[in-house]
Amino acid sequence: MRRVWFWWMAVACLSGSFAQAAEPMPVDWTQRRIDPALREGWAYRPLQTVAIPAVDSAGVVNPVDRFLAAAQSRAGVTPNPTVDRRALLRRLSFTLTGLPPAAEEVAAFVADDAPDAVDRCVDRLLASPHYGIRWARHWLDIARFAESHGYEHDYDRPTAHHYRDFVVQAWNADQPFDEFVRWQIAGDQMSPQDRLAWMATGFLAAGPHSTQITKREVERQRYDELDDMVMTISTALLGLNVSCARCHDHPYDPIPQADFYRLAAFFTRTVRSDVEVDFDPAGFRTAQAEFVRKHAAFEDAVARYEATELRTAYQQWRRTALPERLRSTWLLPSTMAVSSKENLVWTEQADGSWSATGPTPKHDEYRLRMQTSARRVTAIRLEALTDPSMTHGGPGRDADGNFALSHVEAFARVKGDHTPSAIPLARAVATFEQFEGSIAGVLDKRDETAWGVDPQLGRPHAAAFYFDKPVDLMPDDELEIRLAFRTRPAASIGRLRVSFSTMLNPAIEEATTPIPERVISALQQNPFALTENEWPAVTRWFAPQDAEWQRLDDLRRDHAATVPRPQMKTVFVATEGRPAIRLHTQAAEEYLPETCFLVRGDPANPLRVANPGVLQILDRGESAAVLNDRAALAKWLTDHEHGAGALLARVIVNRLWQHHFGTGLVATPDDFGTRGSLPSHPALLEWLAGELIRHHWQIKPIQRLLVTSTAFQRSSWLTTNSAANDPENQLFARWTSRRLEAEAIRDAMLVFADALDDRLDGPSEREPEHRRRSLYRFIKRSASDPWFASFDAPDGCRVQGRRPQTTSPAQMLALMNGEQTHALARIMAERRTTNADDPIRHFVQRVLQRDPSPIERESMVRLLDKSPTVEQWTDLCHVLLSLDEFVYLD
Amino acid sequence: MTALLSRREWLRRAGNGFGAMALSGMLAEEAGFAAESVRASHHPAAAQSIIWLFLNGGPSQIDTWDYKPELAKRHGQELRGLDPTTGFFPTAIGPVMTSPFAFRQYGECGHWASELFPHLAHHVDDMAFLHACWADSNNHSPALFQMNSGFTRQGMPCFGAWAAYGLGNVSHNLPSFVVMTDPWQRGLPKGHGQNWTSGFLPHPCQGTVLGAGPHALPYATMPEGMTPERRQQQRDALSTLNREYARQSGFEDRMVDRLATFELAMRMQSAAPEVIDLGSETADTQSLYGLNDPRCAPFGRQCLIARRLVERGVRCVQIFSGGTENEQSWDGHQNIETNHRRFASETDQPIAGLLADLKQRGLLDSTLVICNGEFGRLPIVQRGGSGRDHNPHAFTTWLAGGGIRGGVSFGETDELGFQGIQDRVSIPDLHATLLWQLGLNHERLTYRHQGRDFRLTDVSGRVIREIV
Repeated sequence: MRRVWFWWMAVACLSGSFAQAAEPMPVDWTQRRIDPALREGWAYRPLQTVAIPAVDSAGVVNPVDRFLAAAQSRAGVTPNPTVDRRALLRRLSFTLTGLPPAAEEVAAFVADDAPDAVDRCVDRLLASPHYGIRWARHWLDIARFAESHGYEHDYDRPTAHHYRDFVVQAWNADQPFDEFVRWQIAGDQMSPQDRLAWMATGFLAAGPHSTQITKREVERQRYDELDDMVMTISTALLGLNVSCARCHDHPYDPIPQADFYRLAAFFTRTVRSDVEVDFDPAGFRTAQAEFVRKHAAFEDAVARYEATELRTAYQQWRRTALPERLRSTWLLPSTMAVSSKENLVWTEQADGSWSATGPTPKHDEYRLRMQTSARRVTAIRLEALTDPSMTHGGPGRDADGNFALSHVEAFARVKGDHTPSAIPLARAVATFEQFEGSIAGVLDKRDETAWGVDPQLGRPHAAAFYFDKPVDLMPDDELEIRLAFRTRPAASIGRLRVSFSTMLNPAIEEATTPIPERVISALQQNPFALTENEWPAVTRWFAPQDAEWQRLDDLRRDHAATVPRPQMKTVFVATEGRPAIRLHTQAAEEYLPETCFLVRGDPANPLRVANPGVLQILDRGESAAVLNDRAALAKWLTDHEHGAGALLARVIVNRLWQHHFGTGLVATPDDFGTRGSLPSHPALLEWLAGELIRHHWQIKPIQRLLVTSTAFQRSSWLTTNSAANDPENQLFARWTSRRLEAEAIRDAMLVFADALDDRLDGPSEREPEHRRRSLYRFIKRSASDPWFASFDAPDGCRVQGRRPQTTSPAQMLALMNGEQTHALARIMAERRTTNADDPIRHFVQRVLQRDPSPIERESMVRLLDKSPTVEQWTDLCHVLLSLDEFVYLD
Repeated sequence: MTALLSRREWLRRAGNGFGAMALSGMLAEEAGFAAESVRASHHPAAAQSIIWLFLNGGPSQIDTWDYKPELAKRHGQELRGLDPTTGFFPTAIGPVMTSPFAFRQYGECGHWASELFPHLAHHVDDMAFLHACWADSNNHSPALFQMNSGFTRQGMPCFGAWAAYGLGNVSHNLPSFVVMTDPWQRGLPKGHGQNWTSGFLPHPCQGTVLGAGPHALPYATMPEGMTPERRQQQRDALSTLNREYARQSGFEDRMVDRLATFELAMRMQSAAPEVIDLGSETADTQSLYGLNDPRCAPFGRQCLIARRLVERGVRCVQIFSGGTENEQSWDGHQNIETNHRRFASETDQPIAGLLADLKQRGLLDSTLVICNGEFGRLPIVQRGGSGRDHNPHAFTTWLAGGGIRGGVSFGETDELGFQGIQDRVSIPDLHATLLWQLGLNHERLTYRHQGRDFRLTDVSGRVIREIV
């Protein structure tokens, strides 16, 4: 704890105004309130009304330009001229979709004289599904999205991609940003009927999760997880790193330590879970109604046949049937009830058997209570039957489909008598006994021995238990059989049938199906005198022997097999009250029962329970009393009047600005605190945030505003004027050149090679050779892809609002020696024949959307012989794919 | 029309140059991070490079360098007061177990060493021993992360990345942080690449894994079928086209940087095969590292490559002995004797050879060699076998060269070697000391990320001046 203490000391010395304002320090730090005046800081205060500046220069129409023009003229900076249509389309296309424009699109755009040419082009790009792919990637950078748990084993999360699909769909549909945020915090609580809302909670769950937790580390790991959620929410959404307040009050921003724990307390019981989500509930309802309607005809046909012709057939059969067919060694009792100590769900099947569903408990005891019209019972037979719900079809519920039956006990229960009397069992036989799992083990009263049937799995088995003496029963007496499974964990029988015999020493009769008691009695009667009450039992027993009934039943079954099923998919979510995903852990639960205020962040030093609460600096509501679940937090986060909504809007419009103009209006997109940059254009930032809310939080109108501004079209040249007056380009008098991101470089290459597979959604691609957009590559935390890493792609371990833009030899090596680049260059080269008249022009048009100059052409021709080989064309394409002019967006 | 300005000119005018420590986005963006040469250190550096021999899995301090005769006396007795959750298996608590290895004293300093390191033990007069090191976690990956990055959580920048960030790259054709993983193909340490990640530091600071064979560095091999002649022609075409674009568009300066990067890339492509080709080393040198003994040749090769990397200006070389699975690393849960004999026999002679070779070439003064694992092991037996469970409370780190005093011991554990009782050394202390020897002050080596100035040593760390 020494290191934590140092922090504390350092904080005590360094703390800014807010700590000093609160002197002397209250004894109880969990009760500390911030100075309300601090809520008027530029980032924290309510949205201000901002007027768009009036500007002298004619033709400045876009409000963005009017804000900038005012600032530029104050600073005496002359803005750069605008670029040509080709350069503009490259910018628009890469910025909005992450893909290059086609040469034909450039030509059409250049030739489009209409005044709304740019607007139409922007509309087209914003409507492209590639728009969502592009902007989902920006969002995933700050959602620290990856598809593995991290840490020791770094197991995959095969169901985590649904979160990514949600983000793509949300951006493509222009889901209002406030709802987009609310769903990521509490979609499962707020719109549980909507699959996208469940998928959205992948945001909370996306962080690393230790795959091996020792007893000693249970608390620390859980607080680390809460910390990850708090840090991600606060930096990604609010540009405030609340995580800095885990061990002490935030050293720079007005965030008391207690605020960290209150925020974390919203997630006390939040765990990662895999839930089944219906992907098409409406379609399922329609299909189901249709099915029910059609299926009625098949049911009717069977019912009609059973009520008429089948009866005649039975009567004919009965007249000629052999007497032994009318008897049975083993009879199904007339009534039967099955229960399990561990609450399995039992369903009676048509053949008189019972099948179990539900989670398999470690140990269990089944009770079967039955009544019979027989007056004397000599033995019972237990059949363990197969069912496709079990491994190998069972008949047991353990991982191999085996079972371990530890004990069988039989009781007779006289009506009105609460204590049943035990029926001693004399002996038992079984159709098959596994090695060291003989039937004798069932009768020996020891838990260690049991009957099993390995390796004869996947087929039915039976055991007969003979009573020591025949048992005489009165009409209302009950027989009770108890089956205990205590020898091995989770090894009970999944489907069973119990029958009894009245004969002395009946054979076990491996292959016969017991006849129901009621049928036996009906069989004895005159077939022409059966009552309507007796018919159903007889029909049910007799029908399978009748060919026409079989045919009708097959038709019914075939149609039943077409029953529509809901499109259930397993989705990786964050939620409460569902089974948590557990990896190797010595913890009892995946969460701690309560979140506590920790003295200096030390889990060994909890002060008391922390109740959920929001950040004081952003709270101006009276709503504090009802803030108890994630849904309440989500509403507060997006409430621009009483909660954090104003800051939320500022932070997202700043991120949008950054992705269009290279640098944010606040240059530190993840830090709006006192250590971050001040806004270069506070009024513009404020106006844009207000504009977002006025557009009901829809993002696309803001982006349309940004890309149709003259500022977006300015050239990126650096002039002496702007270098002197605005070296950091805070006035946006020029456009900021940038290197394309790793994803954009690769995706563009796929486009150039005509090799892009533009499918959306679904599981990620694990092979680096895949041809889908790079968004769909599988990101494993422990194994970063060297190609993407060299171009500064994030590794999914932390919020990253701004990627570094390095220039390193590793990038050049990746371009020149990477197998993908070479393979795509090769594909381009192989397809040149379709453009045989001037392949060089064709290739340059593809990659750069312009014609080659004579000098350029000359340098490329040097790579080629008179009749160039495909390798030489490949070399040429490879050079084009490594060009500055392609890799940089100027 | 105002004149266009080159970016370099712009940087100069903007006064946005590279401060002693500042790795601004500008530097990485404009100059090419790896291409940038040495940056100034905080104080004169004792060491130019570090070779970190990482005995992955947690070697036992009491069976190697921390001699505890008391173990034999209390062999078979219960260790009273032991918190059963100290190790990994709370239900496998056995009695005190003596070391199966014989100990004797070596060198002028008379340091005790077990029979596991017969070659290395002859160098004790060059080594400084920190006996009371401790870690936060009793679990491999958090402990590995902490040893490498200072934090038990994953994703933070590792030591080598901080060194690369702080000092830049003096090698003109090799990355500044090179990692070699278990040479027997037994897998990566738990947590894999997170053990040499650059975290939020720029990517060129990241550890580059140097493999064996022709694909030693990622993308350092030309595509199949490519010839040097054709590659040269591509290079010419690329530079002509880039130059032409720069001339027309006014981005000349960026082109200069990119071209420099390109040249560096081409040099790296030839440097990697050269550095791992040990053919030019004499037979004496090779046998010094044990290359003629199949048991230790794989690790010996890596140690020899480490020396060659350091000679070529690489800042930090990290070699992992031991792979992923427990018994495939120094993680001797089952049987401490067979486990440690196996791994010590692979590493003893190579490490001794490395120290001897560095010394005879005069490189030991400027090269700091450090050797440890992520934690130590308990003085009791793990029930069910003859191994030892994890112990975060005590382990031994030794250092040699690079300004470290030889023949000294610092820190002391209790009579069973269970926990430190004097001069305990935390992992941040260790990091602070290593940085100090490289000329860096751990409190001034910071990087702003999400509003916070991060340090390798977070909020603590003390330079252990007693051994420098």
